[in-house]
Amino acid sequence: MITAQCVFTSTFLHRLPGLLYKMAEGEKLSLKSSQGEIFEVEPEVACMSQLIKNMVEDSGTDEEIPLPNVKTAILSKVIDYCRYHKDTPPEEIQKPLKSTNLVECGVSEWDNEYVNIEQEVLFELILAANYLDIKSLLDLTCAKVASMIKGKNTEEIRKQFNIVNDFTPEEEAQVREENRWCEDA
Amino acid sequence: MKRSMPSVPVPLDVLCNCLAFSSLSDRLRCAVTSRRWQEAVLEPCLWASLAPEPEDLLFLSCLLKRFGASVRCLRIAGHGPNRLGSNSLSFPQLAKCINLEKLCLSGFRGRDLENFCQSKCQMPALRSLVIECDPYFNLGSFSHNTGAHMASLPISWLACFPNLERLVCDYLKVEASDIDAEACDETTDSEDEVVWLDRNVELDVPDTTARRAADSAENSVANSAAGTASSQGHAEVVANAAEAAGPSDASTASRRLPVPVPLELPLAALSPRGREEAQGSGSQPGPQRQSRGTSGSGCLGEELLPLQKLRDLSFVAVVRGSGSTWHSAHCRCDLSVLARLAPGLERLSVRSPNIALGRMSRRPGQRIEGLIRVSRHFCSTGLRDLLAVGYLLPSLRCLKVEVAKDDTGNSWDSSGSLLTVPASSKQLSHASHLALLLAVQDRPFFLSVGTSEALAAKLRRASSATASPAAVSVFQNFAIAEQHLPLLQCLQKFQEPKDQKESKDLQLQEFEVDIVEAA
Repeated sequence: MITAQCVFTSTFLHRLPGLLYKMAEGEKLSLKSSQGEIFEVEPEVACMSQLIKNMVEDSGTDEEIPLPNVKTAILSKVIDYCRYHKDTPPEEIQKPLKSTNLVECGVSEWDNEYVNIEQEVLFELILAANYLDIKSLLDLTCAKVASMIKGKNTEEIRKQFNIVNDFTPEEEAQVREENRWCEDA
Repeated sequence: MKRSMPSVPVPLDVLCNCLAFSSLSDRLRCAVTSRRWQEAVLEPCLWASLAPEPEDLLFLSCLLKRFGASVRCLRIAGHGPNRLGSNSLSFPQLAKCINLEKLCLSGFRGRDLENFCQSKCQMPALRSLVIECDPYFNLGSFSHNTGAHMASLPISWLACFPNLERLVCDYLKVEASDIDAEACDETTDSEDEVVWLDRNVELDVPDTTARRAADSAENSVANSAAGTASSQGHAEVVANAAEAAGPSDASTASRRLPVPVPLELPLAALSPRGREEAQGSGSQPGPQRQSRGTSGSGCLGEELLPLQKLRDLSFVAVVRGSGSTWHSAHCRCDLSVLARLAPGLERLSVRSPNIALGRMSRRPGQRIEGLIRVSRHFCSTGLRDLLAVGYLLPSLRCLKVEVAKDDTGNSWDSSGSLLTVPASSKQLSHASHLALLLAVQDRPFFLSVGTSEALAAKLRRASSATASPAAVSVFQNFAIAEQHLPLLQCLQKFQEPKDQKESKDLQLQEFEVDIVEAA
């Protein structure tokens, strides 16, 4: 009876969230990208993602963690970010941005270089950060998008992000009229 | 470079997150690009917290007209050409924010605030109001200007916010209609209106008050055995003084209690009229008010109700009329008036005025640091102004005083200074003494006090006392914030040998202060 209790307790503790749960030293988590590639990652790095942290707490670490919404290249980049910021907490980013240069808005040089990437990759990163629930990465990438919007007029924004104008001419005229005071100012 | 949005549509909340980093004008330009972006821009969550830039003030009216209903928190800072004058911002514009809960306006100067407060409209959702004015207080060699006309909030205007719980402002302007005329004439500046209690005097005290004092003293005894005898005595002082300040209620029986230490008590703080009015507000929390009767004099008008829900106040002074003279009945930290306006206060912060430091404000050769120090000393809050604050505000749990001074000499404490804690067996009793003088001995209380340079210097020189700050803060239910209390640092320095240079500097500082005071 006593033995059974101990076994139960051990299993229970293994699945407990937070401080009670400790992994063996050196043990790594296996993250599986949508393309099937496996990344061996330190738990403290992987658990910067709230999604992975919850999965580990719910299901343990025995099996690889599938991330079907994240491509290999993007997952690799996300892991780079988490590894760098494991010991270097990111700075708060100014809202609204005062400049198109993110460094002048509180972003570190490393982060600024990190998001200096092709736009398609940037949006993939935004989606990955949103899916993995990494708030600081989501903020960084969103701030990058905002910096690309800053100071541009409507046409320039459409061109920048290849946005298709799906307004009818009448609708567009109405929307423009609604926001005319802003353009005038 | 390939430029395109990803094949998977970006969720709306992610687009909102991007737009949260954009300025207001950038957001609105995005709204014109496509239906998807327009949908994101119109998300109410994006407009819940709004802090327009100075250049956005030009179209603030249109902005509030369109998104005002979504705004919960609004912070507007006006500077330079985009100041918060009647042109760029008027109060009726804000009325479009029907769900506004927090409002912070900074950068008022000149007559801006006065103009802003001219119009009125109800904002029942507002819980927190912060009004920040540009520097307005000017201390000259022979006169001073309180700047009351630039930084006063009329009490009648605050009626627009019936559910206000937190208020940060500079001057609170009380009109004759806000408080009865007799109260407006009150002043405690002259010696005639101060009661001096002597060690050997015996006074008539109503039984109810004496019982309360005795109860308080018993609590003190329970809290600190070391301060038993002394606390009992001080409780009697407060009890005696409270009733001695005015005519006693004829219906209460009297008895005589000894007064062990001399004490100076301002009449206004303990006026029986103020107490009766407090009785009238039966809905207010606090054990003292609940235990009293309800024989209110009715001199408080209905217009004072707006501040009934106020719990947190940070202010400089109460102003009446022009408020042109600092530390006069027309411009001072008048707790008795405050108690009538906001009887449910739980946290009170008494700040120094915003001092003008421009070149025209300084004497030839005077440095900014010198002007700051002299002005802060001039404007510092006398501790006697805080006397019986707990009696007047039964719900008060936290009191912060930015700059305090001991302007009563030896009248506060037989040891020479209210806050001096000599190395004797009465260490705890001095803390309890302070609690009793503030009339907060019956509750958990947090006190944070800054001191004027003059008081700090006085304490440095005071004596060879070896008190420990811990001895002050150890008093149960009466915590002093050490990190905010230069006074305690001074006390610590008692144990260190005096530095010659420091003494010389202090003498020079005092000399400068004396010059201004003489002027």
